[in-house]
Amino acid sequence: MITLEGMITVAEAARRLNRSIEQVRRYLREGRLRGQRIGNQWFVEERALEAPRGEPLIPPELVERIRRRREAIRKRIGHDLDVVELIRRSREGH
Amino acid sequence: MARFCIDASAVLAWLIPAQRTRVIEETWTRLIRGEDLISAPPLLYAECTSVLREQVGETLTHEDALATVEDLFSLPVDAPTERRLYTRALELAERFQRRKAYDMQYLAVAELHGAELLTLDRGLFDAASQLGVPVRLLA
Repeated sequence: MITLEGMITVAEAARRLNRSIEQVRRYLREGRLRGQRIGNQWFVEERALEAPRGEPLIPPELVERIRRRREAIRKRIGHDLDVVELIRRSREGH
Repeated sequence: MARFCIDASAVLAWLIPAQRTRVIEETWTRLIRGEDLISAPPLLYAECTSVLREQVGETLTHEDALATVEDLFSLPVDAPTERRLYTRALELAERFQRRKAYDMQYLAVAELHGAELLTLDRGLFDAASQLGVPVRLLA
């Protein structure tokens, strides 16, 4: 019999741990968080809810991916963007 | 553990090429390494997506925009949806005589969550300062 008592969704675990949903799924796959997979959906054991120690808030591979894309775009367009102005124009257009 | 509220300018300045100041670098280095909590109104996702879309064909490719939105959603941001966020944003828009309430949503989250607001927007910085909400101008 399947029981969900004491289990929370991945989204709720991510919110409580201040991690992304992607990170929580990875912790579950790696066995760093205890949980149960029912069908296609993971549930996290609430009692054991603790972020793995020493884990950065934003995974290094994500930081590196963002840095590489940002630099590639900068190289291609040859200048920086004024993000405050872009947001202002976007808001005015709505 | 500190709590920060980030606005779209602070996020876009990290996701796409923007005028990068030392304070932006230092702030993101802290957010990446630290145990701080990051929050923002759900508007963050809509604004970033719109700005990225508007840049497609100008400075960004469609693939750049798609990949950037994917990465935006990988950031651990707590985006509250409670009603009080929106009613407070309206009150703040009235107080600061804003015709629209976009930036006031960031201010409302910072205020309601006791977070320090991070922005490159001088107007939002000034409003937060007047309200007594802790704020850091990343420009």
